[in-house]
Amino acid sequence: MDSMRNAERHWQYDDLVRRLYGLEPESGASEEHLVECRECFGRWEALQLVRAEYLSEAETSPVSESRLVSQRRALWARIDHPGRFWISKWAPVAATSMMLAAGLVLLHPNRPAPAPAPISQASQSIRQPDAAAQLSDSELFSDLSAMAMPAAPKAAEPIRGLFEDSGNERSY
Amino acid sequence: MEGQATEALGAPALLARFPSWMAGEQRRVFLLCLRMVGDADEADSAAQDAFFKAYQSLEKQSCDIDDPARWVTRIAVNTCLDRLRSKRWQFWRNRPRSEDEVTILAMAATSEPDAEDRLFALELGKRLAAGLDCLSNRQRAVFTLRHYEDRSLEEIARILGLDVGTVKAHLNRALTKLRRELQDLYELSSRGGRGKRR
Repeated sequence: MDSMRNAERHWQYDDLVRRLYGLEPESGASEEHLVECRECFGRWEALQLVRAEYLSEAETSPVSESRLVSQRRALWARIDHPGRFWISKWAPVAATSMMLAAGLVLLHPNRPAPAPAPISQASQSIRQPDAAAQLSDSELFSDLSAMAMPAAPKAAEPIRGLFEDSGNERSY
Repeated sequence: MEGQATEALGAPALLARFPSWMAGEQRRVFLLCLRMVGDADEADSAAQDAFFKAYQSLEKQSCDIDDPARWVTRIAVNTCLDRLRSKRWQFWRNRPRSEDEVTILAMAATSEPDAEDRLFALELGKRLAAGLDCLSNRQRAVFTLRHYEDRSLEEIARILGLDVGTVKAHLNRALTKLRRELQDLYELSSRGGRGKRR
């Protein structure tokens, strides 16, 4: 029954287009019907004509000769000097990143000095007494200053004190 | 299609006649790239990349190339797919520039001098180009090779390295998305003269 119904069914436009592109019909229309039905076959032939016309037009689409010539010239330049191509391609990227880096440095010229080493670390670096005798004055001075220097800057002490107080309160 | 040599050629032989072979294929490859990426400058670079890769590959290998035209088409399509993938991030370039639109639209222009025909073809070309933007990269590649280059599904499968079933699935989706544009292109065109439909 189904095959009989399909044989009677006319080809829809979408199915004809699908056939034109090499796909099977979705509605299940039959090939026999397309051959036998004058109306469907006429539509199919008209569609094929339009397609052929369209393809011949697409094939002769205008492209300017100057574009093709400059394309060939660029290609041969690239083949002859491959390094130059990469330089020209990456030079703007490199220049931009350098500019950005320079901008960042200029925007933040006064970076805070690195925090001094904590006392524990400083004391570890102090040499043994017998080795200390062999130290020069300048080395000894730097060792002593490292010991005397607090871990946190002086300005931060009141804030630190606040935290210590609040810790005590919590323990009560 | 123009310039499609089907004979097998050894890589050294093809390399020896590279300039003339490229000149024969260049226009077709450029148009393919233009239809794929939708931007003339981008298509310029893509076509150039494709021929450069082809040249480098010929320098390295010595085996035969079955079909040089299909081979360079495959390189060009893959180059365009790579570009389309990276283009996703370039949101400011999603729409073709006006001068590129003119170039793309000129492709659909009929050679007939009738102004109405020309207008209709331009309008259709514009809609079809806009419709291509709605397709995925693979759908776009399959549709371009089938619609503009009239390649068989088997050939498209070989070019894209897919099986025929997958190509059919991509084409099916592309045809569904471009249903209206194709309807105007074929159904209205098949009803008498082109200029008499609007």
